[in-house]
Amino acid sequence: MKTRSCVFSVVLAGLLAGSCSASEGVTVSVFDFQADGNFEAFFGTENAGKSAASLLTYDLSDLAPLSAKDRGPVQEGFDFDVPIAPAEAERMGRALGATSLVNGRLLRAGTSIVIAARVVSAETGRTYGTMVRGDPSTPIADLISQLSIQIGKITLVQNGVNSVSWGPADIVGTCKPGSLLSHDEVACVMDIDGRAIPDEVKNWSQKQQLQPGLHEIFIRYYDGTSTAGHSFIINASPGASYEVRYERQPNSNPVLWIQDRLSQQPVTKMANASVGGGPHIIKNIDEGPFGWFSGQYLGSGPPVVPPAK
Amino acid sequence: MNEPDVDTLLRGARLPQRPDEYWDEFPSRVIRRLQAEKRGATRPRPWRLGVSLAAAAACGLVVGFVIWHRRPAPGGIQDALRDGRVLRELQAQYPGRLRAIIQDEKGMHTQLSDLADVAASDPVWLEIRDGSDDRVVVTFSGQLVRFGSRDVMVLSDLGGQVMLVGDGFFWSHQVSTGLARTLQIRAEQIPSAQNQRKPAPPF
Repeated sequence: MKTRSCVFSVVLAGLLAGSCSASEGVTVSVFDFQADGNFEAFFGTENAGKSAASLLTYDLSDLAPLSAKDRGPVQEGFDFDVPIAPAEAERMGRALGATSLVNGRLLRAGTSIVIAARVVSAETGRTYGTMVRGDPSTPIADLISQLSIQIGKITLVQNGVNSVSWGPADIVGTCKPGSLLSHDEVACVMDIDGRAIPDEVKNWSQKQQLQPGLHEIFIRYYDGTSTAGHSFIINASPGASYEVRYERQPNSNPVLWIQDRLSQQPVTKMANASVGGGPHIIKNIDEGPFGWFSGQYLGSGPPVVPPAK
Repeated sequence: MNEPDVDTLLRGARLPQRPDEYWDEFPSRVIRRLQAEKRGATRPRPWRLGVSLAAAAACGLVVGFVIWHRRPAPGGIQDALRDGRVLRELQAQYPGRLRAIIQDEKGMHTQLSDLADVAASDPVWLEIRDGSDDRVVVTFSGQLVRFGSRDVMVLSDLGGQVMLVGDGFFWSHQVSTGLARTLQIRAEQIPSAQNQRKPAPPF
């Protein structure tokens, strides 16, 4: 568990360092969320609040014209359970270069998962709340993405900026038709944030919706005799359209990646996916940044790529 | 009449003479009377019951109609708390210091900050019923309210929906957790002075 949490933190830290630069205008600073004991017990993690804050920061940074700021050393003084005075909010906002301050709480309510957030204007101290709710089958990444959009709308209102609509992105697979003697070659989405796509090979052309923000997508390659897979982290931009791509030389492993359909540019690294003939345990999802969130959706263990027929 | 005279009189008294049949029938007569009284007490005649129910229903409709259509009474403290009149008065009196107004069994009292450091967030009306305890709290989004032994953050969203969030505690109109069974909560955002609350339909 610690390994997975570390991987999560490292990946997000790298992503945040690369993308969350401050810009003029509406800037949000997200503080660590507080997670109730039963929430952490349910997900089997001790750092859910910190991880949720990191994920939320990244998702917010993708919602133009917002930008998200690293909290830096100013982590204390913004306790969720303490009302904040306008002067204190202003001081923290100035120290962070932020116009809005966000923190929140993760809870389990019966069979529901609730993530509540407090959004404070750093200029006036005016405070709003918002929440998202899901059942245990709802990917946490989707919940946090939805929360980021709601927080984004509040921060725009707090800063007198006209409302902006952030629509979902989508992703489809690729297929090279076979001949009488050869099977179709398909590269498709098998799993998004721990949510398996039913009959993924057959439904390779079906658009899968992605809420704006970070997602873990597992790609599967299948040519009728061999199968391979790889997990990718993708930052879905609002309204963007992505497709799975592959390239395979004779007698070699397929290379898989995801690219933007409009620009035809890769948005992930090109990964060499090793081919396996039999049942292939995919460890990437369980060990990946969303593993500790998605693990519980996968039942008894990580997903298994069906064997080639 | 002194005490010895009374004693002599009582000693000389005799039971009234009754025929033997009277004493023979006495127990069954008492039982019949008790049964008749019991029937009369528990089972009113059908037409009386019908008239009572009709009268009660008519009264209920009239009262419901009046409550639905009434304007807030200028002096009604509950209405004045709910529509924000008390809040605005006290805010004007203590600018930036008012954290909450509480109406409970002790009457109405305020929670004031020592300094003018309370943010001007959306005001919220809360009614909290815990068994026989009934409290009304008027406060602001971003302030704390005491629930038993814990403090709970009051938050309202852009659409005026209210939520209460605490350690192991969450309440909104849609979902709640950590609440005692006896606890009942009603909450709404207090409208601004320009947008006064309209009477809600009774059902």
